[in-house]
Amino acid sequence: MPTASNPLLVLLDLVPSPLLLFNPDGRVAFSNRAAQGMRARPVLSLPGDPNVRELVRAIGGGKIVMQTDIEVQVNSDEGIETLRCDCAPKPIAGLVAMAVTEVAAPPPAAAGTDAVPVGAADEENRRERLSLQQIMALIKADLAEPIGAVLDAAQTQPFPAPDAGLSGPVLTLRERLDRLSDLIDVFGEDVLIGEERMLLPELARSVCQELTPLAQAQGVSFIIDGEQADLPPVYGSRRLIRRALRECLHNAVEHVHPAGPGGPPQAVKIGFHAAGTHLLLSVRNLGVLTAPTLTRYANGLFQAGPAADQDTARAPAALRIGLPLTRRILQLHGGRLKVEDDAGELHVMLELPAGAPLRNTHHLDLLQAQIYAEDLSKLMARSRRTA
Amino acid sequence: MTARILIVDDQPDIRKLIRLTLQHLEDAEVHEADNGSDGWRLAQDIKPDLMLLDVMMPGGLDGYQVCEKVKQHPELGANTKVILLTARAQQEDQEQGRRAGSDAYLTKAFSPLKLLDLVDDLLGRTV
Repeated sequence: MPTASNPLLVLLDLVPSPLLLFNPDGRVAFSNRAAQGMRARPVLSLPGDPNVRELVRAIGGGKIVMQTDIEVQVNSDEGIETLRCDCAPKPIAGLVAMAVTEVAAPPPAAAGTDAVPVGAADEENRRERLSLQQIMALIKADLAEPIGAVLDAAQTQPFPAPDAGLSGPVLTLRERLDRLSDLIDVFGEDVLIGEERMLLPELARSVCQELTPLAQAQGVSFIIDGEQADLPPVYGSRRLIRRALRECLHNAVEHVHPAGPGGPPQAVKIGFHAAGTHLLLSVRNLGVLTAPTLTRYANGLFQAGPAADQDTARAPAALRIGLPLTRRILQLHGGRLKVEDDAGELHVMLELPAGAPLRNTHHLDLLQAQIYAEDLSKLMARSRRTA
Repeated sequence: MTARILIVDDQPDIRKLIRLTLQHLEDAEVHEADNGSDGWRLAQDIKPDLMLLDVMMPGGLDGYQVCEKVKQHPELGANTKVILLTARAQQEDQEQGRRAGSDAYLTKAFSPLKLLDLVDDLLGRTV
């Protein structure tokens, strides 16, 4: 393959990930700039590895292989390094394409502790969360029927009216189960949050609508202001972002200063603002809580440390669970929670990255390059025809 | 007549690949932007005949929003064709693309040949 005039190789040289192209016999036919710059020198070390040779031969020979990625240990100037090798499942122009990444070495174990194999802690973490999720699902499934039956009974009572005294607590119970379920979903280090597209103003309006009965009962109104046109979308888990907004707005309504007799109704003001590559949603109220108190609650639960003090343990679940949950959800989406006091007014700010998450589209690049290579000769023929 | 084509994608290698592909077109002037907000500004400036818009871009306006703005713009709306490029292949994503006013929706990884045919078709050219 001549390098200078081959657009595929020009393209592969531009790919930031290290890439190698192997002849079906296991020799390296091409390596891009990123691969040549690697400390572990994969161009020299990988062809000598029997597992790499076997994988390349299988793919090059058109045999379908279940596993197209392997980890290989190679010698480098820094000692032994582990490389992950991902192969495209089909040859590109008769060559086998392989993306190479360095696998980070595990941190050295502290004296007197057992070393944990790479990936074992993550796997343990995943299993623990999975079992918690299963338990939560069982609890919810087990309670769904009696909760539904009680709600139906409360709402169909002919006299004197639907029993709000009963249905209220049952709805609260259901909401709390949902909150606990969301809490379990965001525990651990390997939480997947998805890539759903959301417009924050729309989502906030829908949460306000849901909280309107509570707000009316408290004599509170929602005021949505701030720039809304041209606000970029947010990508992530719609359910979790909605949960974060709900917790935040619920707290704002519940902890607002009660309006004096005959005085104007209290308001929870919601604003939106695009700041560089981030979006800010601010919730303001004249609340009974202060920024340091809220910050203390928000920082609890997900941080290792001494058990909660008695004061914290007695706090309502919305503060004890809801606030740290909100903070954690924002964190998982690359955002953060900020709380400030401004002349007696409490500002709770939810900051989220605007637009799509930064991508590592390593596999897509390889697949795209493969399709491009397949079309290359037809593209050339087309050019000659039109010329 | 030379066609002005604007590529808006945050991934440099995808922009490069599209540019390489469009080299096989006759009389095309290709411009690039690496985010939605710059893409929208450039579109108002150069008034392209065709835009290739990535849907998911970090940091600001996404492809759907830029497409909506182009299609609602008094000068660009009728004259600028829009192809949305995306890795999102769900039916509802395509539906959202249609609602935004796009003329075509191409899922990544795409065939360069298919892209060229689509571009020719939208520009009213025959191969």
